[in-house]
Amino acid sequence: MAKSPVVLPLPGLSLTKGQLTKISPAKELPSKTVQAASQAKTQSPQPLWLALVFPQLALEAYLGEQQDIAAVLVKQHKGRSVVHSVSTLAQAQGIKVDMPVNAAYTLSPGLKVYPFEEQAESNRLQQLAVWGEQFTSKVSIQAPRALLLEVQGSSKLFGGLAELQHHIYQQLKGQWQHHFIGAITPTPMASLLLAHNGHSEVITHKTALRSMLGRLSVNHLPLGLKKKQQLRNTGIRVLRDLFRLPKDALARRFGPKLTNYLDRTLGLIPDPLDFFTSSESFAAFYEFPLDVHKSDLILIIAGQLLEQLALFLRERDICINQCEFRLHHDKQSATTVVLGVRQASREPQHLLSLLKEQLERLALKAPVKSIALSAHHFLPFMPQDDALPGLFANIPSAQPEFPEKTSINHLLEQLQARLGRDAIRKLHSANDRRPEYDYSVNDASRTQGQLPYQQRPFWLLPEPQQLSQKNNQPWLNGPVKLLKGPERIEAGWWSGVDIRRDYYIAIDNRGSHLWIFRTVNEQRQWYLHGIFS
Amino acid sequence: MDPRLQTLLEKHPQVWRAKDAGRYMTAGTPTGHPQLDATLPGGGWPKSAIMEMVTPQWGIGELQLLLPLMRTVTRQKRWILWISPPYVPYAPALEHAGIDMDYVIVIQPDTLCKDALWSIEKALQTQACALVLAWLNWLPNGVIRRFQLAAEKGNGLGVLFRQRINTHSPAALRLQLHPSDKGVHVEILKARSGYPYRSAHVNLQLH
Repeated sequence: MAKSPVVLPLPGLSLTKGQLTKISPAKELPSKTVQAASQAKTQSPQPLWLALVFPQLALEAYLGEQQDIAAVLVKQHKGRSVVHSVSTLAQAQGIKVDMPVNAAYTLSPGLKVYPFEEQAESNRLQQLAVWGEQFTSKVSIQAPRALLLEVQGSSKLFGGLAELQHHIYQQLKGQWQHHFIGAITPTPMASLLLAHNGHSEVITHKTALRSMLGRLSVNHLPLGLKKKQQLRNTGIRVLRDLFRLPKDALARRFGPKLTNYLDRTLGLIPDPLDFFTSSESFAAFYEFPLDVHKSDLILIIAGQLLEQLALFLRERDICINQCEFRLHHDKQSATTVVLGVRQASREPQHLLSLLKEQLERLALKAPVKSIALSAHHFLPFMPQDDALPGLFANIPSAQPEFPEKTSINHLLEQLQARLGRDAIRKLHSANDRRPEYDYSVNDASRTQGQLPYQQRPFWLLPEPQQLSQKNNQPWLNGPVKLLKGPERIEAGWWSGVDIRRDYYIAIDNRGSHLWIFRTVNEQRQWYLHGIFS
Repeated sequence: MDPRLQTLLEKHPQVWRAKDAGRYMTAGTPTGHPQLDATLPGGGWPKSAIMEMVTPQWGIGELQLLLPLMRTVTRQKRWILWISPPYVPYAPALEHAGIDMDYVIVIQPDTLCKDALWSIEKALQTQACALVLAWLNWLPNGVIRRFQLAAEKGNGLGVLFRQRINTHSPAALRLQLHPSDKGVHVEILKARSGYPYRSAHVNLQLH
């Protein structure tokens, strides 16, 4: 299944015609291509690897649209600022990679210099990998600036290898506007080697690899400078010279790493890769052209972002039980709105209504500049009615005879969204002899009816209220007459909140039935603790 | 009867005549208190409606009056929402009285009045929520009318507890409770199609 990219392509760079990398399939090997195609019909197809190398990735990611300026990225190398990457215009002025930045300034006084950021480069490569996932399930990131895509498996879907290649290259040129070099061979290493060295070849069969790679200089091998010098000193100039040498002798002299690399390149031994899987998270962002403080405008945009999220979820057949909106302000920390749903969902309308409730209560501290939506935890999509573990996990789901069987979930979500999580409670018995500890709030792990039941009021005061006293009798806007009692409650000594009380049922002069107690200590104070109703 | 009055009545069928009391009466939900059932029009609590209970103070048996209904509702696995109760509903006592606390949800009393009103309306509109109990002091008639519409939509009963009588109210049933020995005295202030209004003494075992 083709996945559409989560990250939208950025408005890219403008390329002039001469700057385009040559990407046409290698013309030298038309017969080989045909031959490989006919072979593929008879046996299971060999994988083919498209290596995409982006030589100016960091610079292009940094510059965005303004590509046609003389600019360099600089990095620190041994305490000096040296050029890391060079824009095409700067290249024309003679600026080269690894040149000290001062020298570059001399060549081009109007040069724009920016710091090289490794993170930005790897982020962009990551975005490209996500984009690549729409063409094949096997995408491998070859840091710092290359991707490998297995293109044989999905070539049929796109109407052939050439079509697929065309498709990929078109998008890279159009949407992304990156400079790139692409090479296709049956092994990942050969593709990378070719692409890194500027050869846009298409080789569809392993037997063609040897002759094709044989022409490459050993300077192109991913080896240390010392090793390369060593090779040149031995009189080895091109890869063909290496291929001709006996393997064991080569391994003895230059280490097994080199022979292993050559074998992988030629496809003599397998070359397992780490495949990229797009991190399962969703992020969308919108920047308002003007600062906005009206919540209805924010809601319109939020609705569009939620639609994007819904699309993302539907494509993957997953749903969420939480997502987060961040409203960014100028010079102030962002306002975060977390939307939680009790029933995992992917209904944008439902989520939007929850956001609306929260926004109505929220006083925006400043105008909103931009809005971001993100979601990280996903659940497989289930069609309705499996309560998720959470605050109301022990709520039995409503019976089917009621038409809106999930309506109570919707109600609770709405209430939670508007009133806050703590405002809504469930109460349960907690089996404590002390009345104020004998109920628990939102406690799923309760036990039931183990204590012998005594007369208890329906209403309990959050805290006992001290009563005044007249003639040693309790007094609450008048005399309080004792009806029943006492019932001694003496408990809690083990937890430090130790109570010793004599409880009475009493009636005040207005006819209310009260539950009052007198402490069993020197003070002998009267307290009101509950009301019978 | 004056023929002019006769024509007026024919022209305006909405004009309600005390004589017709009971004609449009719908059967109510039994209250569980025989004396009260005999007094209330329809023989019980109204359905899909708003009811007001005026009590001079809390704790004279207003919850006991509703206890049989609350028991039935939770047994049917429908929900009771308590909005801004004046005290903590004491779970062990309610459980002992036969209410399944799994179906009781309490909204904290410190909730803003505006939010509480909103919650009542939402809860009344929800089918699975059969009973909404609310303790609020500020209740304009327009709000009660909205609640009435919400209750009709959600097929539930809304009970508004208040301590002061307002002169008139659009609620379907209005009761005034007076404390008395061995129970509570229920005076009907207003009942839809229940004229003339009577009152009843209900025996309650408060403790």
